[in-house]
Amino acid sequence: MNKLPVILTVNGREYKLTVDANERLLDTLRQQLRLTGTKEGCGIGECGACSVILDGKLVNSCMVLTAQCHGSRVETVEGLGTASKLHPLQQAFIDYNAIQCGFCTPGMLMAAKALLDKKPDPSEAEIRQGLSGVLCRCTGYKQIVDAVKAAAREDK
Amino acid sequence: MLEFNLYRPGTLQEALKLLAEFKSSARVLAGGTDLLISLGSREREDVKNIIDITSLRELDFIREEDSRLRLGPLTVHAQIADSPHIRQGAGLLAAAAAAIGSPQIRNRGTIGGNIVNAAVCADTVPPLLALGATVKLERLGESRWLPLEEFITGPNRTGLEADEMLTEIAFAKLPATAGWGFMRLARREAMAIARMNVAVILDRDSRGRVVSACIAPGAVLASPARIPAAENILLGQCPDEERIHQAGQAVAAAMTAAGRRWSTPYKEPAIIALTERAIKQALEVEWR
Ligand SMILES: Cc1cc2nc3c(=O)[nH]c(=O)nc-3n(C[C@H](O)[C@H](O)[C@H](O)COP(=O)(O)OP(=O)(O)OC[C@H]3O[C@@H](n4cnc5c(N)ncnc54)[C@H](O)[C@@H]3O)c2cc1C
Ligand code: FES
Ligand code: FES
Repeated sequence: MNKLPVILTVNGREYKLTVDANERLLDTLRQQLRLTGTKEGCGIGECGACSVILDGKLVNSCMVLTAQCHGSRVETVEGLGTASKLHPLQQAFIDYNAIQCGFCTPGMLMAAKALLDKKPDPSEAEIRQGLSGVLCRCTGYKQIVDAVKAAAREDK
Repeated sequence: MLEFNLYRPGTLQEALKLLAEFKSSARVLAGGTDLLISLGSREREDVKNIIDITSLRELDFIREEDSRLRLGPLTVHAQIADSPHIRQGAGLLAAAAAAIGSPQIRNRGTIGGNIVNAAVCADTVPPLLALGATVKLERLGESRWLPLEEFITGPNRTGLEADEMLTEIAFAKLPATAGWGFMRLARREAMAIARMNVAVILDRDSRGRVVSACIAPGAVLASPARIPAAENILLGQCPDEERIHQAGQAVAAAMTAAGRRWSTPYKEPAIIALTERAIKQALEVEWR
């Protein structure tokens, strides 16, 4: 198996990496860069826990090889806000009790961010559609949808 | 995940050269939403070399020329669903692409991968069959065009040779008078791969009589195909409930003629209902 050089910009910071041919973006983020906010649930594209924004598009990082991302920009949940200055979406998730166990939360936040980046004022149907690739086993989704609505209002 | 060597060719020519060299030990990697799963589950031990084509911009295009639409195989489902050219000239393909997986899958999964993977219920395939799509296959120094129904030869099987790539998909735009329908049945709304789907295109004359009909179901026959027996029931008619139902039954009959399985009692009424709905969706378009 070969190794390949990859230049990757993650949350605005550039990394020069060497990766195994079969290394997934999810593994690189979690193991090489120690950005463990991004979670692995199913590993086969079905749960969305691993969602990140790659060159402006929401993708499952378990289904992308890092070597395919040479020259790309990646946004993960770590780039959203800081503990002292939360992103409006993060604050809204807290305010609306949109987090229970928290496992889906990083994926939900990135899905919501990708949606609001494209559509700052989404309808409820558009929010549900935008979040439909992330599964939550705890909340029943309502609080999450409400939180995204609130964050969208906030942003204006 | 399976261990392999990964190559990142900068041009289509380079990719074809690599394929010519590696032949059946190589696979092309597009969006990876099918391939990476099969490499992850190690069901493809024979694969030693992966050729990443995601950066070949020359394979990522939607073009309208004369009255034809031409798509590059790297076009992702989200682009197809949003493209004004496709929504206007091949609405059923846009509808099928919009129904696939989740936003994440639509942002990554390509039309070329959907076709070459050739799952029995690949959502873009019935619309493309109904549109009469042809596909361009290229190997180093050579290319050929095939009708899509000849290209797909069975479940997960195509006529693609080991050193070939799919490089274009083309079809004629629908006439303004044509109506279309696309229906799918999945276990849940998002992220569920369709169990069955059907695409319908109907063109009618000024008196509402069907002058051309395409009915193409997926997951009904071993390889997707139009069902002429169902189309003939509508041809020359102003279809009423009874005719529409008969057309649905003809699709179900084609399915049962190909063999009964444990799932047949469930699939039979379902495909009849899906076909009826797709026909009605196609007929709702007002004749202009
Ligand atoms: C969670 C989930 C949900 C899904 N939902 C749906 C759904 O609702 N409907 C549906 O139809 N599919 C669905 N899929 C399947 C998949 O996303 C689609 O089939 C997608 O279009 C595959 O494209 P890709 O670019 O990811 O293909 P890849 O995985 O990159 O490739 C698939 C196959 O095609 C070959 N290939 C790709 N491009 C070329 C080319 N240009 N020339 C030659 N060979 C090529 C590859 O070698 C491989 O064998 C789903 C998958 C997942 C994981
Ligand atoms: S871990 Fe990637 S989609 Fe579940
Ligand atoms: S909060 Fe537990 S999975 Fe969503």
